[in-house]
Amino acid sequence: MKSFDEIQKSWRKQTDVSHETFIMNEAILTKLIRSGVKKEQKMVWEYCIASGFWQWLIYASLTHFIIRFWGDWQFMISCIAIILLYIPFTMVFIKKFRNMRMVKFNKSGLRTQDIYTTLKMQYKMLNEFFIFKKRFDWLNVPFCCFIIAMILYKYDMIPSFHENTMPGLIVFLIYALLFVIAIYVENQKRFKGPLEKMNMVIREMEENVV
Amino acid sequence: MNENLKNEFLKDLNRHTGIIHRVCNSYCSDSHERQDVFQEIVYQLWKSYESFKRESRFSTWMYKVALNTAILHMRKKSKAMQKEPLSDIFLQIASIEEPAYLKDDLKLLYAAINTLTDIDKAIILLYLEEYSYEEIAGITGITKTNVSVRLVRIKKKLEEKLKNQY
Repeated sequence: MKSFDEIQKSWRKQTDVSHETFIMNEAILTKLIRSGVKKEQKMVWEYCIASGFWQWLIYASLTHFIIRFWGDWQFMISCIAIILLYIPFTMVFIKKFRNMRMVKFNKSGLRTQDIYTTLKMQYKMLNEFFIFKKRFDWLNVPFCCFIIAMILYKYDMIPSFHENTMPGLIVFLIYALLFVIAIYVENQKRFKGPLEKMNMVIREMEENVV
Repeated sequence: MNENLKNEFLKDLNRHTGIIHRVCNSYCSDSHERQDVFQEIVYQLWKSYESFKRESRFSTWMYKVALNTAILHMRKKSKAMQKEPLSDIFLQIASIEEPAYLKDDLKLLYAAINTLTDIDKAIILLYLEEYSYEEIAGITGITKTNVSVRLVRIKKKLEEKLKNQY
């Protein structure tokens, strides 16, 4: 069994020699950078497309219903009210998302700070976006479920709320449940899991070891 | 990035590629993951290079970026790892695929380091590279006293692990 000092010496000797054979040239560097950019863009686009498509779907269907049921003032006003309520949230959502990505991809290099500062900043950014997203979801889910129930009613797939409230209510609750499950899985994967991991490292660094 | 800066970056990078390999070997046990982290580190270095003011040594700055990238990569690890082939780039970087150059005692040391927490890995790696306590504190963001106390514990842990493996 070698002592730690001997291991350190052997580490220095071996690590000094081991990588000298490989020289990074411009072609390899360009390939690596291109691949990195592609990966980064893919990640952003995946989220933007999913979230953008969803928002577009809401506006498109609401606009469709305003035109389709032109003259049904009660229904038209409900659709317009939802659009008006939804627009500011969409704008804030886009702004927050863009800010988060801008800071992350900023050339000034967040990752050139010390590890503790980087982790704290990354945690803060992700957490702020997560808190906003949770608020957004609280508004988003009932709206969407309400729209779905209205669509089914307008196409005579369920009776009107005045005749029988139960079918409409059941549709609303089933969709609400599906949304809650989907949002829960997404939040775990994209936000809660990474936030917990980062928090663990931050807490470990803040631990008083003396 | 202009041509001159690009050449300068390549020169600096080639002088210290070993740092990236050592960080990859310490944080990733799987070769695919090592390739991923290697690529991510080079990309992050390239992105941040223009902001490097040469107030510190290039190797110190490189360690900051490499360690931050490796630690942040670990937080994404729970996501399903994308097992897509990483193209021919890595055939040229043979040492990242299979660190065959490593002698047995170093392999054991890496295996032991791999069992440490993310921040302990960073501390011991910097210590093995002969950084001072002050420099380690500067790179990690924890206090000098904290570094020295942690190092005593880490060394003890590693010695115990290595004793069992020999």
